[in-house]
Amino acid sequence: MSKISSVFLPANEYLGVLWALSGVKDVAVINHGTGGCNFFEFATASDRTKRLIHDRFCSTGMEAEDIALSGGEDKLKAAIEEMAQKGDFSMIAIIANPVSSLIGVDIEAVAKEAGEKTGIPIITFGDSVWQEQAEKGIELALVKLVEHLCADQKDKGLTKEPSFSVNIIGPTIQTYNWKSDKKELCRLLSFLGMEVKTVIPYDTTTEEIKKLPQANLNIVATAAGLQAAKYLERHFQIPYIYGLPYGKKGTFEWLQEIAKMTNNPLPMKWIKEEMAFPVHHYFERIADGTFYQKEWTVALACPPVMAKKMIQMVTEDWELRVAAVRLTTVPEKEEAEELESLSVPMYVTPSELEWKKILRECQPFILMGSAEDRLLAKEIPVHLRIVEPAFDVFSFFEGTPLVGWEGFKCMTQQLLNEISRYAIVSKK
Amino acid sequence: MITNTKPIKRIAIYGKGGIGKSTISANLSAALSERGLKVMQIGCDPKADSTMYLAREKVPTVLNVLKEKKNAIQLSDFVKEGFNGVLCVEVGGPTPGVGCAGQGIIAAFQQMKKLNAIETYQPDVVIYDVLGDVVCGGFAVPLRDGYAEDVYIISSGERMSLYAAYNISRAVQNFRSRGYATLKGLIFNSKGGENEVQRVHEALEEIGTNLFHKFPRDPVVQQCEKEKKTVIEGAPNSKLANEYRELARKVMEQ
Ligand SMILES: Nc1ncnc2c1ncn2[C@@H]1O[C@H](COP(=O)(O)OP(=O)(O)O)[C@@H](O)[C@H]1O
Ligand code: SF4
Ligand SMILES: [Mg+2]
Repeated sequence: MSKISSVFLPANEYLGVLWALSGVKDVAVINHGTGGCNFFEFATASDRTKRLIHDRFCSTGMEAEDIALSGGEDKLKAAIEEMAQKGDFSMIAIIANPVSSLIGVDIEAVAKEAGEKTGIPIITFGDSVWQEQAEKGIELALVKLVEHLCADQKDKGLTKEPSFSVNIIGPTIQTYNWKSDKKELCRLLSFLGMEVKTVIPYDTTTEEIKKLPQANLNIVATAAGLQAAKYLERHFQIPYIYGLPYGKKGTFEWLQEIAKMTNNPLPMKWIKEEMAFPVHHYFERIADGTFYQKEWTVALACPPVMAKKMIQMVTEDWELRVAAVRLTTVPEKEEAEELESLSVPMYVTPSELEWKKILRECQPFILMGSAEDRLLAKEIPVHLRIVEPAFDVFSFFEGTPLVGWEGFKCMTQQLLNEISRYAIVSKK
Repeated sequence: MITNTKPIKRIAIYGKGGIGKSTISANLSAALSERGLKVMQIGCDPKADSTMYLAREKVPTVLNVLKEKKNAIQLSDFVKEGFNGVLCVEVGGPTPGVGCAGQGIIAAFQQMKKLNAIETYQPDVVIYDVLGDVVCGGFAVPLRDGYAEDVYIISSGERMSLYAAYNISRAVQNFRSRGYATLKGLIFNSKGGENEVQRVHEALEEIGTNLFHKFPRDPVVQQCEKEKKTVIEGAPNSKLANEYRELARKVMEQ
């Protein structure tokens, strides 16, 4: 089957590393290789990204003769020295771009020498280019950062935070809708008396990363955060929960699990109030009651970490049927087993052609996915944006979450509005 | 831009390192120049010693000049006239263990094209003296369209050198369908040793070529090297010099 992508935007490990590092505000990032490549694409990606990486990300700008003669080692050394001299950074990260990775430039050795000379800590990403999953790059960056910055915290005799504090691991500058989701997560956790300390690598510093071991719980938002969470569990006995809360029931179960893990009581009065949201009442009201039909099916496109709770929300809260799920990344082994047991037709990273064919065959009424899915399935009546890429939407303010109870309300509201709009348009 | 209308003979010499490519290339260039032909020899080996005995000194490499002078680079920076007007060029390349020699060849060729090297000097013959095995795409560039048309492989009777010959021949064959260079034959550069001649003859079929010419091992090569000269220049009346002249004659007949 063809793997040609003209709609799906395949991002690789290299981009994943760049996404991750752009959230760590005091790390200088040297991209060792030719100007251009994905680096250019990345650097010009969005206004927000540009602001984040301004004055902090650079490319050694290798040219043909550098590639041929020395792998540009001299340019790399010069770049390290220049970044170190700026004095604004606590750490330097060097990433081999596809060119320097291909010819095997020994950036570790150059980094070691330059590190000794300049006294600034340096982490390297020598050959993180070829894997097709950007998640792997984020994972790698997280593990390197955490290992590098937290390792010596072990000997320092940890003082746990007095309040019950939580880290969220996984979201990057690329994560769709994160601002809103973070707000809702903080709200939910505050009812359990918990405070979110750091979100890595979305918005953090090396100092904050050093304090990760002081937290009482890690919330792993994406698969990319798992390895770092496991490291913190192994070395600092911090338990972690994998996945975020989606849907009415899903959110309740998620909070229940956290309460159990941390021996915290659940504030039931508040929970009752939150869960009183009368979904079906609204469903029955839309479009004079003629449009609420349980035969409506849903196609879903999301990463494995979201899939279970999203399916639960559609089937148990909305009482609709899931016709097909496109997993946007390959699930971990245990994850795959769990998802399989849900007996929903599930397709792991299908090609564009395959996914289009599946959608044509199952004819869903509702599509929940990314801008890519929307492009491939224009004829499906109702669309909801739940993952990136989302180049077709703006999200300025933090009041449109997907997670938690507010997220559930928000998604339900969007769904109802879309159906109403469809009803009006199709009546015309 | 001057367009070159006269036909140019483009030859690539391949073979295992140390087998005698540069010695043969330089003497071939010298012998061709004696015939009144304008020859350009391009060394495609990071060692950059292909034209050493033609130019009597190390020629600055294209890559080093490019690194130093960037856009200010000129042909005269790296094209040096040697014995009898032979134009000497060295691509250059990394010190062992760093960089990418293959990209070096590509970059140097691009630069020469950009500067219209061939159009400017209008050579009758261009000889590419290319490093050892074809390890990757870069080393096959001289085989591609617009570069060499005739390929010669140098080998002795040693197993490794015949093995390299076999690999080079395969690369040439792979490119045949694209209309690239043709393998014209194997040039046997003797190193002595038992059954050498027999081994070469046995290997020819597997390599898929014929024996084009045979050179004996002759200390006159080293004697001339001491004077920083080719055999053609340093010992013009030697038997070996005549062998190189014979090669030049045959090559031009192809
Ligand atoms: N016919 C020959 N007789 C004696 N010595 C030779 C002969 N051909 C080459 N050599 C010696 O072999 C050495 C290596 O040859 P060279 O041309 O530099 O090999 P290559 O270019 O293939 O690496 C040279 O220094 C030269 O002295
Ligand atoms: S194998 Fe070829 S392309 Fe790869 S680094 Fe070496 S010379 Fe360059
Ligand atoms: Mg040589």
